[in-house]
Amino acid sequence: MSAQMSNASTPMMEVSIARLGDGEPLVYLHDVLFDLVSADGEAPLLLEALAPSYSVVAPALPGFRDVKEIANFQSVGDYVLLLRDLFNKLGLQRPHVVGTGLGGWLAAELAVFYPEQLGTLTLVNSFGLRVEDHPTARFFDAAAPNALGGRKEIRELLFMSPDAAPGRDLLPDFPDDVTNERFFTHVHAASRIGWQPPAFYDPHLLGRLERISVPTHVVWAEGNKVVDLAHAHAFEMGIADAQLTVIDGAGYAIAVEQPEALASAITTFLDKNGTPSKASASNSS
Amino acid sequence: MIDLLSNGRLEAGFVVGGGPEYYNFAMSPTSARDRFAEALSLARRAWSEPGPFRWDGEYYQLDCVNPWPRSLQDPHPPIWVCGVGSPSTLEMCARENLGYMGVNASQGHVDFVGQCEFFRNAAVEYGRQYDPARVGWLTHIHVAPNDDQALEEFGAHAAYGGLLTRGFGGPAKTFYPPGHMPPDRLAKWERQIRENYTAKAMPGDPPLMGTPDTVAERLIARLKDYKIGNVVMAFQWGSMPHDMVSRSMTMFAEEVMPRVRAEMDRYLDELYPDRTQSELASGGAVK
Repeated sequence: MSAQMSNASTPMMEVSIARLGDGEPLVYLHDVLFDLVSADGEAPLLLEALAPSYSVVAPALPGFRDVKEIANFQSVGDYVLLLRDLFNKLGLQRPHVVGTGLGGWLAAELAVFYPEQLGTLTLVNSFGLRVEDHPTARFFDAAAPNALGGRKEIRELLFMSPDAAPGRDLLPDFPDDVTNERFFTHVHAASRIGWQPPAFYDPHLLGRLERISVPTHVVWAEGNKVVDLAHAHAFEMGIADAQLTVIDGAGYAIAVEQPEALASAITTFLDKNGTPSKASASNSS
Repeated sequence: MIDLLSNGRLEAGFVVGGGPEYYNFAMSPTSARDRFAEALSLARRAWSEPGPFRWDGEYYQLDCVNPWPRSLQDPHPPIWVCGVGSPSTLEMCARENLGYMGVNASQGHVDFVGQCEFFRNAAVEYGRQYDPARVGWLTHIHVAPNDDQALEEFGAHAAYGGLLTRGFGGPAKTFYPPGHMPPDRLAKWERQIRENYTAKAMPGDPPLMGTPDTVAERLIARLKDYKIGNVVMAFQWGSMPHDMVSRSMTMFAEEVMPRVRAEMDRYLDELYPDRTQSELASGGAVK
């Protein structure tokens, strides 16, 4: 399925937006390496699975199309402001927000600072928290250039079945220059806010989770070796009435390893937790 | 202070930093180049302008910059930047009138010839006469009474040197953190390493090791191809003992250096008849 591509102007940057499907608005915030809609509109299977039920709006996060975009992005706050600007620009009224990994982290930050912007929040294998004795995996080591060894190390980190098709297709060992430049562009963009070892967290986020007031679903892959289940429980404990779903048979890259199962878990929760318009109405009264 | 103590002979080297340092200091390598550019502007201003002044930068905020004493060289000592051939670094040096020091011992002769040409063209593009004194090259040199002996001596000690370097630097994967090199360059670099390795086509350029005659001939040939006026020579490497290094350096100083100097002076004068030391003496400040 091909997404419809467009650009949205915000004060901070021009944002590449992919749209597909029909239904309630759902903003999808992608992760580092496997679920970004390509520049020519090729969408990951997860978004195709959500498309029959939702109008999916999938922006490319800063730097993921071109690393020059992140020149002025210095902190998580810059990303949160960009997302708020983008929601306003697109006229999104309390959409469902789904984020994986890096996108999940940014979705959680947005929900902390601007809860009125979201209808519901779904965090999939989300980065963002500092959990004692459970540091995030050394993602950038695994994604480091490896001229002779290929991409085996990063595939083994992200996938439950590192040698199966989704992993090999997305992260081939010895890619052509164009594919390889895209890979390094994505890793580069992520390292702008994810670098500080041990990577990918905001030390203040855990204590602020209680500010999240929208219905929240925490979805974790049982085989997640990047951010382990302790992070899922920390999100679940920190956010009032959050629901946790653990899906087995997939690793961190569940969005491509088990897209149907993930889409089904996302949809089931959203069906039960009302439409964004209802949430909006009840909140404004 | 060092410039005063040395009677104005200080030359300052600025480096963006190696990959492992971004791990050690927990600093995102994606902002390394911008941060470096700001630090460079700040240092140059601090060196060349009597203070105090305020600095409100993106990365550095200082209420009162007022270094004392100022350098003897006016406006400031020459600045060199080390690089391994990144076009953005070469371009920056040409634009900012900084010396460029190629430290790409792992690359081949042809690569560095290309980088020198790129620098010369960039200098001209920025409306500046190319000054061979602004480009340098770092290389290993070992001089011995005969060629075989030189290679044998260096080889034995360099093997240890390689080990030492790896021990200092940490795992190879930390050498190229994301953002340290632009993605397009990193992608090509990774492929080239693989192709070179697969084809066993690592640069087979003749090493600068051998008798004074061998070393002088090879060094002159290299420098002529590069059209540069500086070479930094690493005589000691790995476990090479002091007496061996001294012998090599003495032979170099007595038998190689005078020939290289005379020949390169003649050659560069011919190529660049109006080259002067004036730009170097100006401390690299943009006039």
